[in-house]
Amino acid sequence: MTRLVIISGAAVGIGRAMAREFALAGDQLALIDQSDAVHDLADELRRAGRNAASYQCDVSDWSGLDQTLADIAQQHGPASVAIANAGIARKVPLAEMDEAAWESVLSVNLNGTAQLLLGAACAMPSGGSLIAISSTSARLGWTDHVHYSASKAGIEGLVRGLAVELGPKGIRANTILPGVIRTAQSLSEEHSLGEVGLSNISSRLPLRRVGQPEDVAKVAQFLASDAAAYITGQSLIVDGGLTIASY
Amino acid sequence: MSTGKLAGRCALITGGSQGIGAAIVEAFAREGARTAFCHVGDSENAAAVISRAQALGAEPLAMDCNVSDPEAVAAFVTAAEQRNGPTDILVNNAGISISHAFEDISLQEFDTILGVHLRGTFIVTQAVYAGMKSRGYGRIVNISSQLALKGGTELAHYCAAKAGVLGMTRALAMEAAPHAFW
Repeated sequence: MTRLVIISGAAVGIGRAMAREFALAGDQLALIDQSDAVHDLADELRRAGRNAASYQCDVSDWSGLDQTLADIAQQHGPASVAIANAGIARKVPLAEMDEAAWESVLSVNLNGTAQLLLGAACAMPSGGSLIAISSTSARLGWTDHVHYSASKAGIEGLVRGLAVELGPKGIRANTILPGVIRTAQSLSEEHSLGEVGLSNISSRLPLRRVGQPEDVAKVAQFLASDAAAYITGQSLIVDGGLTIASY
Repeated sequence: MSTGKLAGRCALITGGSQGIGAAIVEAFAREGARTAFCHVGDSENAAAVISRAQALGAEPLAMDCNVSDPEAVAAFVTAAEQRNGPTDILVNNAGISISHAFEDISLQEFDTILGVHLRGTFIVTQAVYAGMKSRGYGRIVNISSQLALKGGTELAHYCAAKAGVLGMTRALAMEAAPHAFW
């Protein structure tokens, strides 16, 4: 049976890789992104004979996301898998951290994740799989990114809570913590590591390379599959050994 | 359903005659791996695992081998590799459990539990690791337990052994990764 898979932040990076991997596996996709590039991605997938619909929506807008999820449910029926992937990183030194800076990151990364997973879970009458994309920054400090770390750590707590509460309904919830992955976000000189930062870190990783978006997408496919039928409430770190290495 | 995703791979599974180990032998057989497993004095169950694997088109090798005994492990690994080829995948699954109040755990019992779980994982892994490293391919899966992270009444030695397995796994993962273990 074809599954309906909802993915937020689907237009670029890890979200885009997940959209491709799930589409190739034959799933029906409902792709959400704040950028209209999400429509181009859905067009591209449809031209390749895949089943994809696109929705332009900012996940930090609760009522807008509610409406989007209602549209998806009305047009495509209940979802089997929902992946809260939309996230942003903003470099803000502590001295400049004000309410607006804090909220701008928390509202997307934590509130947007909560709203997507809660909304999708309500539309999963026969069970399903919820996946949230956090970050190794949930466990490791990152200078100028305390709001980012807080939002990503919050996701782990959110998911454990959802797993306990939704388990009896046959809904599993798990978190993926990607390490350093080559995406537009990590390549941002302004807000993240940039090209030089990525190449510096790759030689220090046990696996000697930064991750590709597909490395994360394949783990999401596993968590969404029956192979992970007995895994819920867990955090899976996909980081090439970043967090186990001591130098 | 088989997808043959382990076709052509050689796998060693310790403690493969029952429970999780037996399920791993069968799952690997279903995916096309050439498998060998060991057990301790459990020939009847081992024969049953072999016949279930044969029904899946596989022909596992089973041997009696206590993983805490280096000579027995060397004999097991040699026999497995002569028959199946170099080890690509190792699953350290062998384990035992004995419950005793902390004050009643004898040093001998402590050594027995640590011997199978921690020393055994070390011995079997070391027996195949150099070959994996030289060939630039290896997958090592260690079966620990939730009790590596939580307390268990009358299981102090078991919890210590399983936590030890986690520590050794992390250290080996870091050391092995640059040698193309992916």
